[in-house]
Amino acid sequence: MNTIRHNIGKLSTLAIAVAMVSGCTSMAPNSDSLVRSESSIKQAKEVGAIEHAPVELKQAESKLQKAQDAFNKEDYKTSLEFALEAEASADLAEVTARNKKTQLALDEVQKSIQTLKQQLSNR
Amino acid sequence: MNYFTKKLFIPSASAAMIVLSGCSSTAVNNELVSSAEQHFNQTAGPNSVREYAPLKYEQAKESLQKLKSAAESDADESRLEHLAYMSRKHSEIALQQAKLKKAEKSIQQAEVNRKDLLLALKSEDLEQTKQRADQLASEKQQAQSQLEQMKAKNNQMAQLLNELKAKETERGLVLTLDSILFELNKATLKSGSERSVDKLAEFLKSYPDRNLLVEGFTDSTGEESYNQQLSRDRAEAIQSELIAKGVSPERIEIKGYGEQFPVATNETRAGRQMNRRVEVIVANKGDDLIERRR
Repeated sequence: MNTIRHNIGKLSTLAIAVAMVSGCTSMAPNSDSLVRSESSIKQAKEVGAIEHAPVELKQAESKLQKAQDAFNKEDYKTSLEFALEAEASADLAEVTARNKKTQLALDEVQKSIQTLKQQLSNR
Repeated sequence: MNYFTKKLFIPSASAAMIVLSGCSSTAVNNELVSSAEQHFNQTAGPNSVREYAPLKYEQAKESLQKLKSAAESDADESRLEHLAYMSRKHSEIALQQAKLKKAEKSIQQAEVNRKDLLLALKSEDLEQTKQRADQLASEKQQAQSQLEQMKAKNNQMAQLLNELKAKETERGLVLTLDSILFELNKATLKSGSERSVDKLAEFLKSYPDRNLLVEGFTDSTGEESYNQQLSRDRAEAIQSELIAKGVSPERIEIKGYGEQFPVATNETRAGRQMNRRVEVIVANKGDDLIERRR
């Protein structure tokens, strides 16, 4: 019993050491994070990120690609990290696009206010 | 992680050495943390971010804290790089979110301002339209009252002409003043004839651009030369009456015809009364007066 436990202990120590070197921890394959970052990117595109936040959007897409590649290599820890980074980048792309659009709308309203003020003062 | 490192230190020192060399490099880690913190302060730091995007601000703060904790517990460099990336992104998200909320609020206020201005413009338009409508209404009323006045004047004239027994002839408008009567052998008006002269004067004042000829006639009793003079005197009597009532003297010509052109028989008293008369011819506008032909 003891010998068996000792052997298992030895084996597990080796396995753990190998795991640590490759990525510090081992994980079960889970593609939820990939799906989440994909949907964040989609949402960012829907609010106009292609036009209004292209840099942030490209970064999100490149992170998603890396997450996908790591997932395919069964490096799930790295895949998760890239997926989280892709999601954060997509969220930033979305809010940046929303902000740009809102600023443009604000400019329009303010322009129209200027015009109206001029009309009033010209009377 | 802690569990693994503890276990590793006891049974296998070589494994522990490998883990340590892969997971920590203090100088680099400090650099990662301080740079992320600086970035957090620059982006999510301003009070407006806390005010306009409190949730995203908290997220950014937590994200930075996670990085700090990981660095303190000597997490490996790639883990720290990941957390630093997340921290930067969350800080920027907080900043952008705050800007977005601020802009949305500004738009709401601007929309209110715009509506106020539109309302002000509309009410001014309305005021102008109302003023214009009032002006038009008053102009219309003026025109209507002018029209009424003209109608009334025309009616008055028609009535007057009717009373004066006006007849359109080629010589002009002939008014036979048979109600203007003279005393026998005299050029003085019989009492009660003044009203007719008044009406005539009124009519002439309404047509200031027309000249007139006053013709006097007598009956056949008496000398012809005497009657000639008498008829002229009678015409003159009307002329002076008209002048007295404000008709300009140069508009009035007079003519005496004596017993010529009787309008009734001189055999009866009534006929002779009708022949002792004055006729007034009002020239058509712009025309000279045509004298009576024998």
